[in-house]
Amino acid sequence: MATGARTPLPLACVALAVAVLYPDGTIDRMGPVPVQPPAPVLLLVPLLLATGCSLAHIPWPSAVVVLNRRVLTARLGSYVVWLGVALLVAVLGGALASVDLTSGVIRNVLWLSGVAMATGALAGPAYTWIPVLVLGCGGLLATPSSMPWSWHGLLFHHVATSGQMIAAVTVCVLGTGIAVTDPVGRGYLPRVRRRSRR
Amino acid sequence: MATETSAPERVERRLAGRRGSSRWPVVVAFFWRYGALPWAAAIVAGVELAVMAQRGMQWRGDLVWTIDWLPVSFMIVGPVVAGLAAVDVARLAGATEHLSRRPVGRTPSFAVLISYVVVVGATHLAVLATGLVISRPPVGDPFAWLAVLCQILMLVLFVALGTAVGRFVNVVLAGVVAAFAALALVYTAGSPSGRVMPLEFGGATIPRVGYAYAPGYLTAQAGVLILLVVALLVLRPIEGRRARRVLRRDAAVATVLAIAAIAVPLAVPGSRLQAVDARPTWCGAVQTVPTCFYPQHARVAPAFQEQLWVLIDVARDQGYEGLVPGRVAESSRTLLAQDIDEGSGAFYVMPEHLQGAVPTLWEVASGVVQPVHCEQVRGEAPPSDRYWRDLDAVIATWVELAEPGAAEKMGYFGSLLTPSEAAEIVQGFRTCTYQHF
Repeated sequence: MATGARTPLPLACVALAVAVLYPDGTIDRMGPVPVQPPAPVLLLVPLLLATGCSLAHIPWPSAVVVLNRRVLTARLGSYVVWLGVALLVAVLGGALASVDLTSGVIRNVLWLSGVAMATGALAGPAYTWIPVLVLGCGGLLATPSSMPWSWHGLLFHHVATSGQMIAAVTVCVLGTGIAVTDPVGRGYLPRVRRRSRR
Repeated sequence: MATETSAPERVERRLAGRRGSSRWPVVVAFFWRYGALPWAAAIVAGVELAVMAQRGMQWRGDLVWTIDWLPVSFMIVGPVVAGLAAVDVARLAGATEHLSRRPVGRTPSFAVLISYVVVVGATHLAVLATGLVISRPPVGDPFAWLAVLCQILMLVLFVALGTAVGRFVNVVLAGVVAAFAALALVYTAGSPSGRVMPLEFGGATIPRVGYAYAPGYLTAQAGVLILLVVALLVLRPIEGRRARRVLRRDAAVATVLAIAAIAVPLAVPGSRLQAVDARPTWCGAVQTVPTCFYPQHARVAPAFQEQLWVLIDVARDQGYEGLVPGRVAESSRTLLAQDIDEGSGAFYVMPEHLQGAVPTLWEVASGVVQPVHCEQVRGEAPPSDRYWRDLDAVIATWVELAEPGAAEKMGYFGSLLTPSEAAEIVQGFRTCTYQHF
């Protein structure tokens, strides 16, 4: 069954290349705007990884599908495989970095993928990058804060607190659930979808 | 269903009988109805308004800062607009391979470009106008319009990048690729260096008083942006996504334009802002001591004047007449108050004050006393420890007169000076004849 599971491959490759080539890189300026404190590149790689995870299962070209356990398993399998790939890249990048960033990168991958996967199911795979990008770059502009629940803290704190990790895992699980159950069914023809619900 | 006309038929009917430029409103309306234009407008407006409201709207009153602060949002707006344009081109113009060899101005992706430029440009200008109304800048700049034009051209560049990506990439990946390409473009082509950078939009985080726009730089920047936009427009696949190769002629034109866009900055060095001889002309007096501020900072001047009033009042009451300056004026980043009049003290209006923080007595006293105009302080070698101790002693003494216990709160535990000691040190600072620099 065509699931489009190869779609995230280019994004995952670029993310892997950046993580391996610049594990200690920091961004201290985005264009003319200074970023203080400098943001580690590794904490921004999850933007690409999360978008990739959300593209793991594309309904097209099989626009007619009967909703059964096999389909749900296939969807779950695609998302889980690519989440695993994303977490592997995160761990690899964290291992190569000289600063301890691993838990931060994993936290970012988890909650950003959750948001992206939910967006993909609700708005369509073509738009999953929007919330990821707005949240990620908005974090660069947000006021730096030491609070773990601030916008800046959820993205750029090097070490994830247990509360942040629990929240990230929850968001990821919820996002995967929405993506697997696909309540809106944007990729499928409406008449076929209604008939299959009987 | 038979009597209902389809969307393309309705558009066709409205386009029939219209010629030339009167077709464009119909085209924009089509992409507003069937594309992601409303979302683009909503996201652009939301992000730009949020950025305007950040940091206590510290840009109020300063025209250059108001215009330079808004494009800080371009690091989000640019990628979003590029990505949405790419998705729209890939989605709506995807089945139009037969049109891809028409003149550029007659292709579907050009229609997407125009629609996005009109809507996103209008949104950006509306937010900027709102900012200018809130800011009410008292001092103008003759080339502010050129800076705004460059901002619009940057938005055109983002949209052009998006439509270029949308012509070559499938709809699922088009948005991501265009968005991250735009982000990478902002990162690389926006860092200020000594040359004309296409995406250097200012992004001011400190006051711009004392600076004005450099028209030569802005004109060169506009030229580079136009060259890059045309280069991106010319890159078209031979037959849509079936044959993604680009004609050799198109590739050559795009290469030449890109080289020109890179060569212009190398040949024209310069910086975006030039220092001007702006003087603080918003003047008043505090206890017969004249005070002058820049008109752009008139809204925070009363807070400084109040603290100065307390300091002068207490100095005169307690016999420390030697501390009181003859005049206090605001220093900008290009002109020190003491360079206009050597004996005067200085106000330093920092971004925190413009964000709403009240200046402390220590800050105001420090500005009045510190001799930043003396060569010995400005030079390569740092001043001696004795200088710092004496400076702290003078400021601490003065602040302690106004607010007992304040000196210790600021970390000063030494002894306080007598009126004659303080007067001697301050006189030495003011005339740069202090013995122990």
